[in-house]
Amino acid sequence: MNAFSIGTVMCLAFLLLGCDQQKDVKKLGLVYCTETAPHTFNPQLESSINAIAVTSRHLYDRLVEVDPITQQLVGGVANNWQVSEDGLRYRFDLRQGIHFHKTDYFSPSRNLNADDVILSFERILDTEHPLYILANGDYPFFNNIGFGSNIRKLTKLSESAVEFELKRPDAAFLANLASDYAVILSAEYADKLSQSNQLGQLDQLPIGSGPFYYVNQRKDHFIRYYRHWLHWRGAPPMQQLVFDITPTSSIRLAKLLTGQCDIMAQPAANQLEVLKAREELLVSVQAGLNVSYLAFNTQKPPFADVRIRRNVAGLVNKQRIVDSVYLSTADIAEGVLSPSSWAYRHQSRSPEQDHLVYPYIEKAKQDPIELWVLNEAKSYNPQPRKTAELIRNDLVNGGYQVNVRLLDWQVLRRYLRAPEVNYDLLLVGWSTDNSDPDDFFRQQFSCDAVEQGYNFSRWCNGHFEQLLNAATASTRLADRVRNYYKIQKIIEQDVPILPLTHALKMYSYNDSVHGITWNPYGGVSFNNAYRK
Amino acid sequence: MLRYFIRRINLLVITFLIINLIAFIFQQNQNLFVKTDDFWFKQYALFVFQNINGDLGVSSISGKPVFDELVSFLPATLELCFAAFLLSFIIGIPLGTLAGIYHQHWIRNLILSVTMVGYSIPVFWLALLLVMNSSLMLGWFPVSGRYDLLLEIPQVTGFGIVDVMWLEPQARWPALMSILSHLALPTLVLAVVPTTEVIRQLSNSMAKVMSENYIKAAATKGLSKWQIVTRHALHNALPPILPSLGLQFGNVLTMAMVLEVVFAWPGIGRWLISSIYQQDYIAIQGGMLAVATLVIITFVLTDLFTALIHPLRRREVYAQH
Repeated sequence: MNAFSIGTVMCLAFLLLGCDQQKDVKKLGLVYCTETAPHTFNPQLESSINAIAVTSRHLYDRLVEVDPITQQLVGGVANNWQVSEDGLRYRFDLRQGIHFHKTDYFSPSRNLNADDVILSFERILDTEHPLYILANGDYPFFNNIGFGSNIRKLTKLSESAVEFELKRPDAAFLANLASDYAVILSAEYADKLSQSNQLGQLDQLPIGSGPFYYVNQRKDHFIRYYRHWLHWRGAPPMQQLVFDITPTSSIRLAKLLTGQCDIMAQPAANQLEVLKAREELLVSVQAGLNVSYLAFNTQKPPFADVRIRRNVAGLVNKQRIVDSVYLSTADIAEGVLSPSSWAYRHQSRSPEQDHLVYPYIEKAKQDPIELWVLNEAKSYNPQPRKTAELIRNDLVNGGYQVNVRLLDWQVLRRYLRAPEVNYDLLLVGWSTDNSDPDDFFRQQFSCDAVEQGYNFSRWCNGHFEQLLNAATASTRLADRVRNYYKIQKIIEQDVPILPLTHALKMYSYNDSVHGITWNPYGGVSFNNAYRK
Repeated sequence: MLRYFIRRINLLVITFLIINLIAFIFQQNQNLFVKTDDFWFKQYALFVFQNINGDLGVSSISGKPVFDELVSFLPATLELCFAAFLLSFIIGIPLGTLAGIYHQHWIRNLILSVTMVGYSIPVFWLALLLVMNSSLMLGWFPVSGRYDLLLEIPQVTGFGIVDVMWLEPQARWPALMSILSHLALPTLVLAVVPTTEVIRQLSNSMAKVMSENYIKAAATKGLSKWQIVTRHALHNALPPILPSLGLQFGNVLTMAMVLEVVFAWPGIGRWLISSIYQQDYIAIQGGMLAVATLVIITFVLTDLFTALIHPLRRREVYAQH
């Protein structure tokens, strides 16, 4: 055998070895192509539900969980809980033997206990807490639902029991604790960081007790997790989980088609045909607990006037949006709540339109309207820009002048926190965090949420607030439903927003992947995913 | 040579100061700088001093120093540019030489026509065409990214091809293959313009050299065309075109930044675009300063290198001044 032949054989052997190695890595890892990178690894501080889907269910546990099939509350970190008769005290008994992650940057010396639960919530409740100050008190979800204002006391009863004492009964309290935001952090890790004066690292280099632990990331490119061997529910089958951050849906699709991704988040409706044509690709479709809507800035003329809001609302052709943007993968929204919610109130007609030409409407048409829209796809709206153009067209036909302005989510967040905001109309939406209707209403229409910048219509109504609190004060379903009906009627009459669509939630994945759980209130879980 | 070296360094320093002045003026308009009662020149001096020290500020979105982010993203872009330049030399030198030798011949016309077509095609369109055909239809190359994300390549130097050396021996080969397959398409697209430039300039330079008396003398000595080209013509035709190819670096870098968005290449272009979307002015300013400085440094270094290997260049420059 001459030197050339030996070289060829060696090269081939190398190639084959390389292929084997690559196959092994592929078999034990999953790549999920998602659209948004989280700006923090602590869901308590995050506002985008898409970004939370990358962190919460994989890295952390919660006190209680929602069973994705039965929708009932089940034990998480707490294996048992009791509610006092007056509905003011919630005692949680914690599970033993829950291990925190062991990583390059932290090795835990103890298991999860009451101190961790106390730290996780105290940082939200105690305005003097160093972690509260560090986060600038910016806990979007908890601030919007007024979590802090309703907790009288949080007490450590023993190493394995904690108690929340509320000021007034809150029927949505447990559902809020089961949301993606209510994660349990490690107090030991916080102590260690505090001693080395690196407390800021707590939210960027995460330590949780979830089924995967953080390994590394490259900003806006990828995030890598490894399986947590000691997870209390058992280690996940996949060794490695990678989130490939790909904001453009066409590139996500291309990556799925070429096998660079195993799962793709939110294919656009016009991509479904391509996906159906490939035998090896499956599409998961769920009724979306979401709503996309046009928010009127009710604190600024001309939309401070409900008559102008009604006039504009009557001009928008929702059916055309469903047909052109969603290609019929969405339902027309009559109200804020999705029809699958138990508090849904059927609304038979669109907001009343003033057909007559009143002087105030003519005046409103003289100045151009600023319509702001996000430049990225969201689960409730795959093509916000196109939707905005359709709305603009409808309004222009109605005699209004409209300027459309595209904004990045982070930039929009900055603007929304300012005391005065210059938009007239904002095309946004909401995906629910839990099954309770309170999540929809309180986060988007409460007066607290105006200050937090999540009440996009900046609408604050005293009667509405009273009804909102009354709806959570009772645990009787009939009372709650009655209050939510009234709440929906107020929104219908006052038109702070124009609900547009309820989008279907879609994912596409390779048929070699099994065991993925699609959570109706958030993202996707790969805890039991495996490859055949 | 020392005088020439000092002249070039002067050029580098002055251009750097001008770029900083432009950035400084914009910064004043954006209110990014803390207003003080100091005379503007003192503020400007402080600004330049901070930039030289790598203190480009802290990104308002990520909260990390802009310099650290640059250091982590720039190598990916440079890797792409180096690969494109390498490919442009590999393809451009033989074709440029051929076009230069066959002066006033259909071969030259053919090569230059193809070159003109290549030069005229918008890179992003070509990129999309290639992705559609060679990735999606034929499955030859990955659509985007830098390597298979399940392969864990450590970030040591930032250059993927180098960083695979830090992997375990059995993991190196698949990692290298993955990097090269991901590099193929963007390199191919990015190399189009510098290749056309190499061909065009080298063919002119070669045609000029081939008409020199010493070439004719070599031919009369009985040397073959191949021998004349490799022994005499090529190493006289190449050095004069190097400075203008150095100037091409700025072009290539700009195109690389556009292509990074198409190929989801995790380099400085994609980082800058995302900073623009997020209105992160400090990051945008730092990125622009870094890119501009890199382009000037490359130009001056190419010029010095040319002067080192081609003394005639020094004389040309002196004659210009």
